[in-house]
Amino acid sequence: MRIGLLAVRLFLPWVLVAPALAAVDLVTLPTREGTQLTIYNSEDITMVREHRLLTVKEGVNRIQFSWANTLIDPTSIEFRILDKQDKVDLVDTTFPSGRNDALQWNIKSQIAGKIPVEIRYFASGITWSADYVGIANEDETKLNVTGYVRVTNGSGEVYDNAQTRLVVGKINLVEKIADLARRPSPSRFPDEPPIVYPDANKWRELSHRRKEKYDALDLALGDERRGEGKGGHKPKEVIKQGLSEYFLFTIDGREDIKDKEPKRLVALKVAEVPLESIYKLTERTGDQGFTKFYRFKNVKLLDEKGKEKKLSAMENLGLSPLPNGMVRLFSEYKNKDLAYVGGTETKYVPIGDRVEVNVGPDKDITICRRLKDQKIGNVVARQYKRRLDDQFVLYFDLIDYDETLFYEEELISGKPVPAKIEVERQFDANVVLWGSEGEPKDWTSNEPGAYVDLHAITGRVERVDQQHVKYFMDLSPGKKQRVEYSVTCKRRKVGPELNAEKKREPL
Amino acid sequence: MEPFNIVGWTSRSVRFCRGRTWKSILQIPEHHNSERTNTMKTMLMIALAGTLLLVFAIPAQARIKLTTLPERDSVRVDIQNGRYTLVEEERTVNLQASRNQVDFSWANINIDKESIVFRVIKADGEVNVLNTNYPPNENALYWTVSAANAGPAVIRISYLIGNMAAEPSYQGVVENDEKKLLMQVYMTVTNTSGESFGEMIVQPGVGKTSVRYFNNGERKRMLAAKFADVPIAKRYVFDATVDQQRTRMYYRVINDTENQMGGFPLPYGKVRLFIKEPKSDGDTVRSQAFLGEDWAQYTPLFAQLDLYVGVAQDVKVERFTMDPEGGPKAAFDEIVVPRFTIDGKEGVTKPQFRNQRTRYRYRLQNFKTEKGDPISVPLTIKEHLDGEWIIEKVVLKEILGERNEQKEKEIPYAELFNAKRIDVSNAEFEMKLPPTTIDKKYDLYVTILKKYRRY
Repeated sequence: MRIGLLAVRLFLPWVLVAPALAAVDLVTLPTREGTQLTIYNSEDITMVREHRLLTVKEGVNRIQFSWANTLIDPTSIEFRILDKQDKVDLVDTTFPSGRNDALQWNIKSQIAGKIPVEIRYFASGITWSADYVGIANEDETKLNVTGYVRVTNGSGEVYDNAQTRLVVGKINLVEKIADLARRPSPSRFPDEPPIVYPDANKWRELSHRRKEKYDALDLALGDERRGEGKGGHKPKEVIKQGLSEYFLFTIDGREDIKDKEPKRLVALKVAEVPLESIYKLTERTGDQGFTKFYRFKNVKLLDEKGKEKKLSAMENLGLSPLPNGMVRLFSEYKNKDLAYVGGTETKYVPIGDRVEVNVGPDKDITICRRLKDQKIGNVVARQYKRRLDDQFVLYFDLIDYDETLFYEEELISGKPVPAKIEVERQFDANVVLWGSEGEPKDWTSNEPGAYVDLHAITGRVERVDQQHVKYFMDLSPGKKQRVEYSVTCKRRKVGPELNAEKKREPL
Repeated sequence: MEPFNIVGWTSRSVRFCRGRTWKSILQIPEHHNSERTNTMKTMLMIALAGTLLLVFAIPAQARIKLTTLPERDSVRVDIQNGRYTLVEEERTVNLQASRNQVDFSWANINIDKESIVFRVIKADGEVNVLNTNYPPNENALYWTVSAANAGPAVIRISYLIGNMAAEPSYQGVVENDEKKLLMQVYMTVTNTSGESFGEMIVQPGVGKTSVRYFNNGERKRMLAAKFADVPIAKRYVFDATVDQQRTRMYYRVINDTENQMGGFPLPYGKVRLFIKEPKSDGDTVRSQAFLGEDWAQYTPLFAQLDLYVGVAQDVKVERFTMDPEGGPKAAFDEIVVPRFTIDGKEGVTKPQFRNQRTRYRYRLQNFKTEKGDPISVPLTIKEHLDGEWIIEKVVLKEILGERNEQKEKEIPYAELFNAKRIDVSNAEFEMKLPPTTIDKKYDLYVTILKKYRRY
């Protein structure tokens, strides 16, 4: 491996120039016994755990650890003695002068022999992402969901036969691992030139060469070594486990995580998830037409009698959150042909919450909003003249007036089944709402605001916040439905708008 | 490692130069290729031969009973002061009766000449420092010391140097149930002082560590302190000014002895948190996962330390600004104050003050589970206010159903909700948020009256 084996070559000059340390045994790291990768998707960070069997002598042993062409945060490297801790002790960790790609551990041992150790560090360049494929049936009542996880290794390092774990969640990271890995170490002398690392192209070239080497090795060893020899025809299971605010997805068995070679695995395959379609229109985003959303719940699937189905964790929902990722949606006809419905990014969905996937604009449901009438009333203004440079200037004092707009919205659904719609309207003043709960007490108030009268609507009306109102309706197929409402904008203390140009007249 | 000392020769005395390696004195750059190494070796040999010739050829100019500094017996480096590093070294010198001269010189190291303190720790008879002399244009000084009797004396030289720094960092290993953690304090000491030290004791501000060597340019990471079984409180915090979309999860630890800490004020540094995973039969060693990291602020004794670990995606809070109950008219209270005129008349006046009423709606959802079962979580909502304010009204509503079937009802909040005034600018609403589902969620309405706003 690149890590560790480089130690001999890189540390040789130190050995030559450090005569006072001659009594201390210099130990290079043996190869990895096992590797575990814990990959995070919210940040560019992977926790690598390596187990190695270290041969130590009695007394003080210096263990060297170095790396090249891969980004490792030197401050994150931890050394743990896994056995005989009462006889073997880590004295200190030393970072050599002028280098940030190596370190030494001084270990005091009362025994000679092999001890298992763990080396843990944070590396940059390995990421994972989730993506989903959803296939809805023709009437859009059931959905088959397949979830995938994709691991991409751009670290420059090959991790073969590694246990791979993926963390779902957003951790807090105060410094980027790649920045820490590139941060120059303090020099021995202030004018000492910094160490120049190979540029990215060189790294790519090196990693490509290494990849070729490992590909050859991989072919020679075959699938048996990777644990795919027995039952290799079945997809690997992804075991899901909660951990604090996160979820840990562990890929069953061992994987070779090769450089620049993404690996995609099935994490979830659920059939016949109850599906609901919702059509939304909101003025927050400036939309003119409806957008279709698929909705389903991240809960355990139920059978026809309402009892929970006995399904494995890979084939059921509601047992782990669904990580954010790209969703591609298809609709399946009876003849098994597929139609592409749309693709979008979905957010993280906790257990028990609803998955809402934006399918895209839907032209089958149309809305036509008409301003049927308008009127201005309750105008209060005071006109006066002021003398300015031997001329009168006509002024208007602060003006109050009420402007009422009468709207009609015509909704038609071209869907073969009843369609559930949500329409959210935005007003440029604080809303006083007369909805399904009856006339509000302050309906006749003289205070400024947008007085929205939606009480004639058959569905429920909801005031979302100060400036937004939402109404819900169920549209029957092919039927024209009208919604009528009015908005009275009570404007108060408006500026002298009737003489904005400030016309003057002689004295 | 004891540094290379080289015997130099000046017109005045024999002395020890400190802090220079052979190579640095001969100005040989450190290159590892063989050609340059050969050049270096050649130059080294020439220099050695030249030096030896000088030693034997040039007679010393007399300094009465000249004493040179022997090897160090012990060294202590104290980096507790943020700006200066104190070095204390102990040596045993052989003094002769009457006057002695002890020379001290250095190179490639930034020693504050005025800070050098010479003390006699142990001697046979009275020993006094008569004067300290500073040769011009040299990084050197010598002490004139009078000794009552001839014999060995233990002396300690203390001085301040620059370019050494200690940086604290923390590692917390949290138990799987997130009730306790093991907090380890590490100090990473960087030595760019120009001096390579041998065996020494380092006091980097926290703890005290003995190291076998500390070369110039190196960094050493040392375990300085360890606190086991530190209780932690898990907090879910929503602060719209920090993040309008997400709730953050914090760990809170208290730096006092009751909470298994309190040894010293915790310095500013990065904290990395790991969590122990559930033990499985196949594990030889219990695995850990990285939870997150945060900067720990300087934490005095008895103070609390909040660490932002990561986003709690299962706890959702949405914040809306609403009109107050009673509509737009209730948004402001006009203030009327009595007016007394000089001629004794009384009236009222409306000053440029009014009370402003703001109502916030928080849509609260909690999908957090533990071992598959829904659980309540402690949620804190932060609001940043300004000036004089009171919490006028709190309403908690349970929202059942969805769309046209949605119903809401007001529920008692006394057991679930607690409003805390942190200071004049900050309020915290603490809530024990019960589990929710798609068909059951909570709306919390808080009306705040801000008083005497100038408009």
